[in-house]
Amino acid sequence: MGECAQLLLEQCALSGDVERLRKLADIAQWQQIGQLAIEDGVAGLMYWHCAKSELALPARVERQWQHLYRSCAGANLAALCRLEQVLALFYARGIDALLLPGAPLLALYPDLGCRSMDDIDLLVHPDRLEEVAAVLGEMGYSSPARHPDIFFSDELVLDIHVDLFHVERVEARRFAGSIPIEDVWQHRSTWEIAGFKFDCIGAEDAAIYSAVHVLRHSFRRLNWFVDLHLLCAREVNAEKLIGRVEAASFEKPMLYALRFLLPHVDLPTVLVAWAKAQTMSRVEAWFVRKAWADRHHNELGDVLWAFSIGSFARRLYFILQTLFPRPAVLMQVFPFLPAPLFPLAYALRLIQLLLRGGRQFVNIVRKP
Amino acid sequence: MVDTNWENDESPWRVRSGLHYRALVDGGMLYDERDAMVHHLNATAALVWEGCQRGESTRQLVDALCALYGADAATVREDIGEVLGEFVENGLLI
Repeated sequence: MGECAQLLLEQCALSGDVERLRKLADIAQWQQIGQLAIEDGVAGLMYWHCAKSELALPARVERQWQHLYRSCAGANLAALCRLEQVLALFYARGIDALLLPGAPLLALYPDLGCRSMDDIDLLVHPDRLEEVAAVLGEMGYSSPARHPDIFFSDELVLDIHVDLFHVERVEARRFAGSIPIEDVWQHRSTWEIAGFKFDCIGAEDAAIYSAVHVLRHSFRRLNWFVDLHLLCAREVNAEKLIGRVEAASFEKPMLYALRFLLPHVDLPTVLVAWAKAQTMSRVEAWFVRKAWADRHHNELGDVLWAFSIGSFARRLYFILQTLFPRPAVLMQVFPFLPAPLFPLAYALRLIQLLLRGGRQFVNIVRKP
Repeated sequence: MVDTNWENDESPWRVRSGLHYRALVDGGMLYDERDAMVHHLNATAALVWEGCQRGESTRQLVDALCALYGADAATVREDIGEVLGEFVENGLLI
């Protein structure tokens, strides 16, 4: 029943067609869908589709989804208002900044209650980082210990980037695909997001970013697939997207995400043909199937991302550096550990990985 | 409820600055930048707010909602009075 509920949710959330839920009488299955939608980050979106289709929800599911929908809408509106103030001051000081997904993707959803944001990612030029920190400090933003690129206030958390995938944290990520950052700035575009106008990265780069994001997070949340579907269906130029994907070596993340979407939604013909023409090795295909089948619990994202790297030695280096990053990054995982004890962080990390790896192994073996 | 003669009021409502309104599927929401507060509005309150944004008077709001819901004017007046009262109490209207 679990898999059935998950499949039903995937079909409804991705296609936006909730009619098949109208006939669903099994309350236990409804509750499962209700809970899965919350885990998958699509509760607000599902609430919107059901309300729009005048589909009566079981009281408990309606209460939960409506609460999440409304709180998400409120938090997003507050965050966008604050962001507008921050960017106004940036521009007044001559600091250029581009929004990275997910904030721009709100423009593709029916309203602000349909997609939540944990933070807002902003791309700035590396030589302006100090000024960015100074301006944010002036506005009352502070950074948590060991996270110099995160800035928060009561209503907004900003993650400051100087590239798309924080390559400065894990340097080996550059082997797994890379878009020259000048190219990203050059392809910028202005998006209207719930009545606000912001400078953002281009739609094709946003699609690549979303495909990599969903892979890095092991396909955990359905709403990231919804992001990519909306981008591909409404915003991107499919030929241009394929060109940028191939030029930057992001074929694998895009392939995995598109193959997941294909059975559920209509995509531009060019993209469908491209995704069908790509090949996967048997091992790779096995990992992808396992990752999809256990989306909420698997941690295979980085392993799969490593398939983007041709050289075996570089692939190994990528996995090692991802699992054991440099001390400043690893210490973010263990905030309680005093800085001079950083070697201990590597021992703790090893234990953590063994435990998590063991759990992953059991999951993989248990599920056919 | 604020002591105001809502039903005879012909003067247009004006909304305070620093408020951001967005329609939602089941109503609307207001973000008050000054107080950093979000107000959630049900469907009727959202319609009343949208009317206030357009500078409509209480009488115009009542007429519009009567036409929309096909309800009697007395009931609509009472409902709108409550909503407007809350808006005024929260300092959202001037």
